[in-house]
Amino acid sequence: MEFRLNEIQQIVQDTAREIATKEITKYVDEIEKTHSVPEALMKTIADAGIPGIPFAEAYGGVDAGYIAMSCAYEEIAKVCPSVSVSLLVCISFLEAVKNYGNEEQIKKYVPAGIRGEFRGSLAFTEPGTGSDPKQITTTAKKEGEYYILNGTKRFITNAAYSGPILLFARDSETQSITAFVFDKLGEGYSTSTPWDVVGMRGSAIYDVFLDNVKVHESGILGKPGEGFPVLLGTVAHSKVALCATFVGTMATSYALAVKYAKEKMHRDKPISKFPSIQLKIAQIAAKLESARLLTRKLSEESDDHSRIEHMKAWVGMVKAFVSDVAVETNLLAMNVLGAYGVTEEYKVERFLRDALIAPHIEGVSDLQRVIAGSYILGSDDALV
Amino acid sequence: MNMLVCIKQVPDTTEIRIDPVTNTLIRAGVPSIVNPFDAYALEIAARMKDEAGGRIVVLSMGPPQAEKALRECLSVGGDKAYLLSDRVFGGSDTLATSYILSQAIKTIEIGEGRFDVIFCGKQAIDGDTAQVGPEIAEHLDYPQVTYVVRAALEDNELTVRREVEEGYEVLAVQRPCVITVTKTPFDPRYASIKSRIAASRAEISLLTSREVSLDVTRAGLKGSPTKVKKTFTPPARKNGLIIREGTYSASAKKLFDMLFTPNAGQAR
Repeated sequence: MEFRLNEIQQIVQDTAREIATKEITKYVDEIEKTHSVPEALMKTIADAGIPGIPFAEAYGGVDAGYIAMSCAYEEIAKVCPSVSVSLLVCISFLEAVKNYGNEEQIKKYVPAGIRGEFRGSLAFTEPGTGSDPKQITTTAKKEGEYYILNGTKRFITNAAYSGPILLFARDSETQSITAFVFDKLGEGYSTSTPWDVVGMRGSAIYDVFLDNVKVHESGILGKPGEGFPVLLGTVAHSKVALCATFVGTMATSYALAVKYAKEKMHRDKPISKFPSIQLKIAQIAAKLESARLLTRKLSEESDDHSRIEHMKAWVGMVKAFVSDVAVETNLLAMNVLGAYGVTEEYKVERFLRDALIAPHIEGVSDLQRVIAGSYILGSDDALV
Repeated sequence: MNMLVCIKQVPDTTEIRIDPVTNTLIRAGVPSIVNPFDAYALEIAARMKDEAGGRIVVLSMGPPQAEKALRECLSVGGDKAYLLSDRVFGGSDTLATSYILSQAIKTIEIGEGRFDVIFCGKQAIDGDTAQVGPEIAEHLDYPQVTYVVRAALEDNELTVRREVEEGYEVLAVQRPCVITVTKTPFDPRYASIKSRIAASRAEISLLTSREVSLDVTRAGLKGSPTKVKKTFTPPARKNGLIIREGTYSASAKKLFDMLFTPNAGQAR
């Protein structure tokens, strides 16, 4: 049992921290205002090797594992959680291709994705469903070697950027769900304007409209009609990445609260001397550290794809927990800063807004708990 | 191009604190970094390597901990690193340091071949002397160009851009030569995860007074004619006074009045 990072994980963390504190920090205001992460910044992140962290060296990756990947997300999110979200969707797309694609698909997408040549997307959610695949209405009708896709996808990250998308649709004939990979922005593909949202404003989400989009059958990820396991496996990985991202929001709010508590004077004493402040700081610290440790344990599980079934249950439980404590800790940090906490200048408000979306995206928290609970009660594997 | 970059590990602060009793720098608790001007020098060398090919050897004189700084350099363009470390070198002033470095360069050249260019930062941010680079050139009897911000190989001719008070000079330089580098218009590159991993596994060659042929009486405290009598932080200056009257002649008159009328400045 080892709670310390190994040498490679430490190198990954140092690299991500340097990029975040020296480079990403320059762009934060622009990202928040324009609702987009600049190409130049994504290129810098790719040049540092960050998208390649969990992938094999044969594809241009670092092969450093998911704990290292989580460390990188956390460091990036400490400065700008929106960048982490834009990036994790790109990487989750690549993970899906690596885990469920054939060699040709892997060679086509993974090395180029690691080099940062495109921004991948994942598209499952629709206006009528967020967590229930049985409600998918987007259709795929087979015509010769092609499928014709029609429907609307909702809240899709990176949807307006060029690059591939992993999209789930219902086969018109068999009524089963198939996973398709194809390039965005082609004929019949269009997006809405970005949704106005409370947090993660820099990582814009769009609706995607599919109007007779033609996808060659070679674009099927996995087998026709077997998209459901691809979906669950893919979102299991992206949830780990989200957990690490929300740990990043907590870490920064925690640091800001500690700094403020030491500097803010009341009756000639720093407020850090007051028990009411000490109590909040201790609560934040305990929640942050427990969320981080759970995320790292989950990251370790992610390294072994053969344990994906087990991991799917774990990830629901952890994601729900981390989401809740992310909101709680960021709010506690805001409390420590008092009225200054709600001002933009003191930054905690941005991290709280970003954390607010945690329990509501990539599976709402209650449903995640239901999934984990039913797994625990329905199997001999008790998770803990 | 065969290039050598001399680097120094320095405390990560421009506000060096000084022990008032011993007159030495207080390094405890201050993280160490590669001297920023040396990082610019390495970046210029790395850009030349990117464009024209070649090899970059990095050299540092310092305590064993300086190995960390050398590994950082290996992660951003350096191909091979040498650490020059020996108790005999301790307390060296700029003259002794540049002597030891120049002798070490001759030793390294036996294995690495003749260096076309020796790069140094214009000065280290802890000592701020700006003497070591030029002195290396003198010891080696090489031409030198100081305060360089760009260097390129054009038609096999080394061309450098040198910062001077009025602007820039563009000079062609004979090789081998010594070039000292000031702040460049571009930032040094970031190390990637892969380059850091490779650097962490690289072998750093240690050079001591046994490997380097030198006259030990010219090294360390014994070989250092500089005697530091006192080191101190100068008191912060008060803000200056800006005279900006409606016309130039009115401003001149105001200045004249202030210079020659007692207390006129305070009355303002």
